[in-house]
Amino acid sequence: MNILNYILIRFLWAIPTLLGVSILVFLMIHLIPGDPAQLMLYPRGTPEQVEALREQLGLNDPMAVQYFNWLKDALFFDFGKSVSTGSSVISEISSRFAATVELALSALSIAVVVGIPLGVIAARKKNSLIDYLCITFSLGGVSIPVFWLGLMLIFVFAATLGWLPVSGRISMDSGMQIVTGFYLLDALLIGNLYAFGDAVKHLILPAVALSTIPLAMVVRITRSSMLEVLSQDYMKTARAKGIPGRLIIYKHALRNALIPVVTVLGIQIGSLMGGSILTETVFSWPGLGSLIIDSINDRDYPVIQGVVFLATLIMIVVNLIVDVLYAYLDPRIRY
Amino acid sequence: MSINKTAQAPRSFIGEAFKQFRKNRLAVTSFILVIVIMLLGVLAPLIALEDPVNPSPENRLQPGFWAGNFDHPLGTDELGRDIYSRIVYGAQISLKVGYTVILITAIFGTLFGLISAYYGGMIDLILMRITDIFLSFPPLLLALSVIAILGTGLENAMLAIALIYIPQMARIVRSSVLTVKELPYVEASKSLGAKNSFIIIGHILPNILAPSVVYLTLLLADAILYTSALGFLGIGIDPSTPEWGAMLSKGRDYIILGQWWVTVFPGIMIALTVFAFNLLGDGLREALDPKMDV
Amino acid sequence: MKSVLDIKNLKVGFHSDEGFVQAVDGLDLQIGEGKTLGLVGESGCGKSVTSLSVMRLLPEKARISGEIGFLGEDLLQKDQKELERIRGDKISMIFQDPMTSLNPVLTIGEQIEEVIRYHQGGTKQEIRDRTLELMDLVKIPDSERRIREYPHQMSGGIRQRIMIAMAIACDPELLIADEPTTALDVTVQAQILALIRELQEKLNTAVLMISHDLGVISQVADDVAVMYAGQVVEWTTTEELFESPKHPYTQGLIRTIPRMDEQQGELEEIPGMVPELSQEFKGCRFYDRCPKAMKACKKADINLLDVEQSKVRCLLYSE
Repeated sequence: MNILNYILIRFLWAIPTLLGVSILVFLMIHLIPGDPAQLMLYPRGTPEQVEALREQLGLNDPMAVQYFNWLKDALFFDFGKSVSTGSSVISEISSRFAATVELALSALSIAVVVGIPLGVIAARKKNSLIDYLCITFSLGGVSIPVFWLGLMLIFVFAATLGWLPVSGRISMDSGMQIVTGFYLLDALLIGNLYAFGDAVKHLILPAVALSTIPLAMVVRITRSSMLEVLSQDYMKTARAKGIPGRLIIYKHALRNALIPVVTVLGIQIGSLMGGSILTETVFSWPGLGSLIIDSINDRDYPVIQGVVFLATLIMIVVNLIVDVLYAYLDPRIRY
Repeated sequence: MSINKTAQAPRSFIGEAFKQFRKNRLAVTSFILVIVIMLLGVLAPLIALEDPVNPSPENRLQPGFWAGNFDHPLGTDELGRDIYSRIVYGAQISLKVGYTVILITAIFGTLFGLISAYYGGMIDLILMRITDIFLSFPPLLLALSVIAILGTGLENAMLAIALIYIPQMARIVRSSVLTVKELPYVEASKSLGAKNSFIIIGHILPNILAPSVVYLTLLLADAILYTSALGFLGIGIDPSTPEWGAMLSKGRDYIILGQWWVTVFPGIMIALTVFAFNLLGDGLREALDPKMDV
Repeated sequence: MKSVLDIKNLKVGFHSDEGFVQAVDGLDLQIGEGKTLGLVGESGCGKSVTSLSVMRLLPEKARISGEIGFLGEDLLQKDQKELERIRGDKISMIFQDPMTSLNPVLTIGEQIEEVIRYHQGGTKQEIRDRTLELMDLVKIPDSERRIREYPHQMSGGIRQRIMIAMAIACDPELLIADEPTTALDVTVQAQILALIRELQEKLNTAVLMISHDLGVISQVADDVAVMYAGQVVEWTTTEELFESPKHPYTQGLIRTIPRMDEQQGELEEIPGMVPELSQEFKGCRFYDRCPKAMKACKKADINLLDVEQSKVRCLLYSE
């Protein structure tokens, strides 16, 4: 038994789950009460248009045939055409994908980079002022609705102080050219520092808002697992070996303490996606979150199916990565 | 360990838990806060100043007590409705949604969890694969998909939110049952020929109570948060409903103009309510089982 | 003879829920170069607190006073930086439970190597060679493979050998072994004790062996100090202790050892309980449990008295 086998087993377990997900996502369109084609074209669809859409969506075929056709296409990220814009679903998605990833990764980085040291400090200085502040923050942080926090940030830093922009990803006059879709990266690639600064300014408020819940979680879990680890016998051994204090914390303690933190981050990916939908709505961030809200309002089911399937696929993949990371951190899992 | 304790001496255990809970000052504070919010909801028709739904355009966007306006202490929104009255009625809605969601979750989660754990084998395998599938969707997307299918409406929103938690609840119940099932006195009771139904009702249900109560309290906080999110997105909940999240949905347009009260007060209520239930859940967890962790 | 460790009037106390607990109350001990001192007593008598005081590993809230002389310097006067240089290098320690005393996420190679790297330095290859040498010295089979493995892949006995390898890595002047065999199987216990004995002779290290088990002490120690309620009640050579135990508590302890060689009726025990250390003591602390207690015992504190080659804290020997 080695790490490759472990990953392989995890991977194999994900396949039936993914199939189940695909069935549910496929069924979505069939679970709608009434004729989905009619519903999608409501209120303007003529009977001919409805029939044409039924044909286009393959709704006249037997269910099993429809599913296999859908799955075959879905595996190549072909989710059909958007009913409202007429362009392919995947082109709709890919034009917005980078925006969401950029936002989510920024938020996650804030949560990790700020949260882990805060948790460690709180644990080392248990019952100090900074510890109480961390506990309060970690309790309060998970209770604040992200969309409200976003609005408050806009009120303070955009509307009142005017330091940062209210919404969007970039200013019209920044001279930004899209290369990869990741604006921070693109600005550096085209060598436009002004555009880079502008993109950062646009990113700060949404990223901070989105990071609050994962940050609160990371602080809380890091603190509690660090406290647990610090009381372990092997910490006494490390001190008895004369290892200097800092090294004890960051080499002996933190690696053990990170194991539950990684698990929690894995669990948090799902709510990070949810939070991203809300954050994008607050800040008019042109990502997948605003795409799905628009398509739900437009009853654009192919787009909904595409986004939901892709998001779930990403979540499954991220969880696989977390499992691997987990095995890397904890040798007891590996063997 | 604590499961054992519950089983052997249920009365003193509850007494002990109560004592533990009372010692935790934060938990008691949160309990009082929860009671106050509940009272707000229950007494809404009595303490509200105005109808929460009817617009009165002549009173649009008036500031509240800070501007000396005591007719509308928290100001009015973009349709001239009294924000204080809407908040009070909002408590009713949030709690109604919250309780309905945990009721649905508790019933179905417990049912599936019990079936899965007690019968095991293929049934367990299939049920657990199904929970896996549901758990692999991002929660808010799952709820949005359900609403996209069923259409908008508060009932559909509640169902959609419950669907997020039923699989988790089923898992918690299943794992507690599996633990209890192996305990010596349950084995003994089985070997004495006790009926399955008796074992489930007499031995297993009381033992899964503690973890379930804690989970459901924390879930209530989450459910309120998701309800307000759906309200904010304007999906699933009619914007005219005095739901706290829905009250914020137009907030950005006005906050930029400095009319912050439209947004600030409903948001504080959401945060306060969620915070209170989170604290209550934590307090209960510490009281019922100090070893239980996230 | 030169003494490696020279503890004078050591007092250690903690504030706890029950009030101030004086865990160690006026302890004097010496260990000569290359000698083994056994420190024996029931749990809660202060023997582990004593060992942690020498390592200066007690929690910060501990109140500690007196003098812990180590090679002529007082360890209680050292700051953290100096202590870090001494720990693991000049004084090292083996703990009770090898199952929890090794870091689960680091390879055992790394855990041994870091001691050498930090205290002695050297190239990667030198450190690795020295580690393999140490693993051979503590008789871990297949060291080339084990060096890359993790603690959970090994038995308790092997893990304790790794602890020992870490402890002797820098050729310390003093080795503290706190119940090193208590958590191990009986067969493994004997091997580990033999190993400690053998290494101690080979390296000429002074050893402070802490145990609740007189049987263990008798196998390895040159001298024995018996502790009761935070104080040494008898301190003598191992031979003398078993031939003619002086203090009633020691006598009681010896009677509780199960014997194979002679007819023994029911296994004896010392009646009563170890006293709470949060109380104020007057007179002999063993008074309540002592079969030979006299009125005078309760009147005043008793000092260690020289009786033959022994030091005994008991009024029976006062004239």
